[in-house]
Amino acid sequence: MKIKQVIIEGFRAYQSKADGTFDLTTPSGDCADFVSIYAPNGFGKTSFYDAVEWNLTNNIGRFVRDQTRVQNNAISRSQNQGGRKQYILRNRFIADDAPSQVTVITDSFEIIKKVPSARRGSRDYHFEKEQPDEKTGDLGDVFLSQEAIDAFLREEKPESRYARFMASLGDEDEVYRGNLTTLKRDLNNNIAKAKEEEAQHLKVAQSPINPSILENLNSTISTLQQRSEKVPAFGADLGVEDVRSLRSLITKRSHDLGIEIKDADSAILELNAEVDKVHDFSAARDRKVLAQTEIAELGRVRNFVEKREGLLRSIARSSKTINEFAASVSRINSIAEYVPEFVKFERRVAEASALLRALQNDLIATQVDISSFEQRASECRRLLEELESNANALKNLQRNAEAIFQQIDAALQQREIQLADAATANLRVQLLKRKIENQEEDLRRVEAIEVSEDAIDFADASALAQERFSLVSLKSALLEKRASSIALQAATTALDQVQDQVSQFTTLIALGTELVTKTHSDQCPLCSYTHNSHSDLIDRILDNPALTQYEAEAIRVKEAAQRQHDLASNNLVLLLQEWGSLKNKATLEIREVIAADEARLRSALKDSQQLALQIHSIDENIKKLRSEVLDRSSDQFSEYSSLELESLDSRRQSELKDLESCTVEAEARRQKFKVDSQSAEEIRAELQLISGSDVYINVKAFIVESGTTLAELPNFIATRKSQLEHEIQESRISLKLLSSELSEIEKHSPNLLQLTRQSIDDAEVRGRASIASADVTLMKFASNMRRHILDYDDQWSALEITKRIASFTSQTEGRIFGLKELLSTYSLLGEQLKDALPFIDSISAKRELERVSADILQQETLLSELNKEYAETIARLEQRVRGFFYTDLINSIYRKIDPHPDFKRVLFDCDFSESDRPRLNVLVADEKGETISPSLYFSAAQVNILSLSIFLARALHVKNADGNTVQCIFIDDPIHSMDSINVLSTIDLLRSISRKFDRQIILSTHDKNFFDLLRKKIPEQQYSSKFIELETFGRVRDSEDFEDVLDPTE
Amino acid sequence: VKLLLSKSDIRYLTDSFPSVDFCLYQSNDLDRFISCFIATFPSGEDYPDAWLEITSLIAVNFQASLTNDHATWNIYLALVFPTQVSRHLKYKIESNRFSLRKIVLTLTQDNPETKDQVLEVIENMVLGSDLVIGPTSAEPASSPNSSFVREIVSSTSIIPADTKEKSILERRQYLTELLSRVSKP
Repeated sequence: MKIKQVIIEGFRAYQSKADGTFDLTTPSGDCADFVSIYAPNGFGKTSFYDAVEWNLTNNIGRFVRDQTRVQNNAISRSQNQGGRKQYILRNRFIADDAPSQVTVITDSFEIIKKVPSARRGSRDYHFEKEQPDEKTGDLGDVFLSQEAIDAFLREEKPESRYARFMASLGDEDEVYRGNLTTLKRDLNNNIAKAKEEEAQHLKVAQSPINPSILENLNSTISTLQQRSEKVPAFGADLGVEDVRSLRSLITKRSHDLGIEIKDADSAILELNAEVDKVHDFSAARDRKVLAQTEIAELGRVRNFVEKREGLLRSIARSSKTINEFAASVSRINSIAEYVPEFVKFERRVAEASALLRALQNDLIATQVDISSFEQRASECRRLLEELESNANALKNLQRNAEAIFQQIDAALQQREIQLADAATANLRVQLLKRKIENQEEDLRRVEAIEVSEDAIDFADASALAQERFSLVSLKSALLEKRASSIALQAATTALDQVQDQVSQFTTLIALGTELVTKTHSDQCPLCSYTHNSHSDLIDRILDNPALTQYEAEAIRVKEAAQRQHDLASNNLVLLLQEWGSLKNKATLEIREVIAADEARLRSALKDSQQLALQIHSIDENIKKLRSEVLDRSSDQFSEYSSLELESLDSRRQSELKDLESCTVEAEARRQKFKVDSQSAEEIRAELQLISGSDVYINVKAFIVESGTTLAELPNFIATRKSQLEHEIQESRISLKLLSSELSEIEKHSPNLLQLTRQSIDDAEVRGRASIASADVTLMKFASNMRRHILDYDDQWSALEITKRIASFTSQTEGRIFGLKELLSTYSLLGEQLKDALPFIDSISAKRELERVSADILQQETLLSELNKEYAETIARLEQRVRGFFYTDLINSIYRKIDPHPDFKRVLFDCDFSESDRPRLNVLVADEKGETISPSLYFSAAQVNILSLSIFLARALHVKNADGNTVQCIFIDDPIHSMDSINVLSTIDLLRSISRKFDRQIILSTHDKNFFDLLRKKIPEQQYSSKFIELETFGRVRDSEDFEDVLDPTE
Repeated sequence: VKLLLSKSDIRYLTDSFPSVDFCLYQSNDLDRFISCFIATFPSGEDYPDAWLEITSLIAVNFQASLTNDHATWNIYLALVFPTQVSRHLKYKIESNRFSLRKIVLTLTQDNPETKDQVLEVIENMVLGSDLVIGPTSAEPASSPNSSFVREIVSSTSIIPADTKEKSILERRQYLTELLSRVSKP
């Protein structure tokens, strides 16, 4: 997977898509293998990395690192203000509806991730570690952030590092190690406790003991067993539990025996006290018998009194009934007299009521008529006012109409003029546009001219024709340069040949000299010329100038050719520069013309728009004026207004007539209403008088009570009167019978006439109270006797009772003596048991000592097994940790940057301290094998390089969800704390990694020199690299043209 | 990419420093042309400033004649000493940014005994020839030995180590089971 494009919109430092589009492809459209992003600090480099990391991993690693996540979350929360949205991811300066998202396009997929919207008082990022998408897998390790690298060795504790490593490995060996540690700790504790216990048992087992104690104990137990006590004897193996059980038995029996003795003593005392109460018991028994006889006599007296009272009540009820019937007969007689007058009243009431209803209906109808006529009159008045107003408005319009028609004519004329002006302005705009298009075409042609030596032959000279520039001199200079090049090459070849000849000639001279010297001749071996002497010949041979002259000449020719070539080259360069400057001049001029025309075009467009606005305004005005004269011509309007005024007047006359007629009708109905109202009042007064009379009220009430009608009333009265007189007669006979029965019973018991029911009740209550009082005394005595003498009988005489109590006392005193003896023996056994304790402890301790020692040995054997298993497990874990960290690759990387003169080897070491959590230490070693912890001895820069080596090695091994290698690595400003030595080697290292492992390295830097150096060392063409610059805060620079500023020798 | 011995004329170096052994290696990849001079000194720090002079000679006689920008920016000079040079001098040389990157090697320290081995070290440093991505080897080399402890103690679920009553009971059960497998004396 490599990245093709990253589009950041409204995220962190980036606002719009136009500013935040990072194209990571080469001109051929492939993913660049090496991307460098330069920007000063704060321009958005880290935002770029945050965006890509968030898109691909759902996390921003630097925010949710274990060491800082909680702190970041707390800071963010503390700045969260109620009612406001807090933006962590979303750019804070974009509009509310602007998009906030990151798009990452790779060579195999595209992911668009939108920033979640924050609620009021909440945030759009919650500093929680999210799971990666299943599609991508966990790609977090390809992001090498400054913070993570800085913190890796300095902040993270070795314990956390070990835990994190093991968590990612998720392995059985670590679980097994942890479990063994836990069990070993418990086992060690158990062994320590067992050893303490062993020491205590040993101490007790060694104390001296009395051997006869067991015999003494069993002797006392035997005594108790003879008295039927259930006490077990002790064997030789008695233990603490046996002693505890016996001691519990002694305590219980001693307590029970004490209570038994106390109960017997109490019984003797209680019964002797009862002997004194025998006389009271006898008297109470006599009182009870007397009271029971008196209560039986009172029942007979109560029957006589109740019968007499019943007869008296019946006589009174009969007298009252006779009086009531007589009063009813009297009332019926008076009603019979009222009936003729009541009949007359009823007829009058019916007539008057009918009349009243008719009058009330008339009154309602008259009221409705009055209201209707009044409404109509009101409507007529309103219409009259409206007609008046319309007529006035029409008359006003008639007066102003002439002036309005004049205004319309004037506006129409002005509109014509403005239309003509607008047509002219539009024409001007079209012309200017066409002119600008032509000039832009010229500009493109001029700009397309390539000002170089190779392109002269293909240059479109016509584009510069206007500048009166000729290509002839340039082309002749080029021809001249090419000719001089050929001449230079020929001269160089000639010089090489001469120099070759010189070499051969030198050999020849050396051989000649050697020969002449050997022969000591004065004759030249080549031309046979005889010289003055041998030495003269030698001098002539050695000083031979011929070839030196040839060589000098060849050098001179070459130098002349070189000068000529340089001259031609310079000339050509000058002409090209001139040509180039001419092109620039032409470009500038065309641009100026275009700019001026564009200004004119803008002005013309503005004029055109202004005119259109004015025409629109005139049209609106005409429309308004025409609507005022009702869209009619002058003549039409005059005719229309005259007709309309006549029509209005005619309608006014008609409404006036209606108004007068309505007023008259309404008045007539009001008079009728008044007369009818008076008649109705008089009828109501008459009805009230009838209904208030005694005759009407009494007869009406009687009819209602009796449930009859007026027609049946005379018959009803006659029947009812006859019934009442019959009932009076029967009641009088019954009264007479009751009176004679009363006289009869009073005559037989004259002495009981004064008694009342109350006096009888009082006498009975007294008798029952006397019985209850006697019962209390009798029951208490019987209860006390039965508690101790089970066969006690209430019928016993006083003498019998006294005898029985004396016998009971004698028996109980004998039992108390026996119980006291038994109690004393138990007490002795308890005392003997105290002396037996050391004996029992010693036996028990010896037994326990044997058991605990065996347990310790067994536990120590197990501990040894666990230790063996633990050692094997640790060895396996150490081997795996070393394997996991790609130590060889880390060392290869670390050695290349080589930050420390002595400590050149990195190693990973696990410290499995049993008392503490395991630690994973990152160490560095020197040549002698001595190791140190870099976080304690290295500088910040050195630690940084070590961390970078570890991170890079890890990033190179990252695989995606499908198990394929992830080919991109993001490095955020790796050199922010390096010096020059590390920078040069770092560049070589990164270049090697990209090239060798086909990795896309995306690296940022704040250092312009580093950026330029990367461009030189890893150029685009050779390494498929790409260089991107941020021109300001959150904006990618459009152009990729960089100024060439570096020279290796500077 | 490999570095091959070049036949180019480097007399401007050998003439100036006859006692120093010079050779020039160049890459076989013409698109990404790299040149590496190796200067092997006969003794330790007899030539404290020689490296700078050598660099100047290379800059004037070799670097200036190169027309390819990439080649110009990718020249290396390895200075090989028979004994360890002072860390100060090593730092001074390697941190110097004039003209080209310089690498100081010591025969004893980095143990390159032959020219081939020197070349291998240079290739490692410049071309990263020794960088190897190996398979992750965190997997255990072999299965653990079987034992009665492993049969009883879980290697998949964690035995709780806290002081809750339930946890203490669980640990006690484990130990009881383990002890049952250890014979009592």
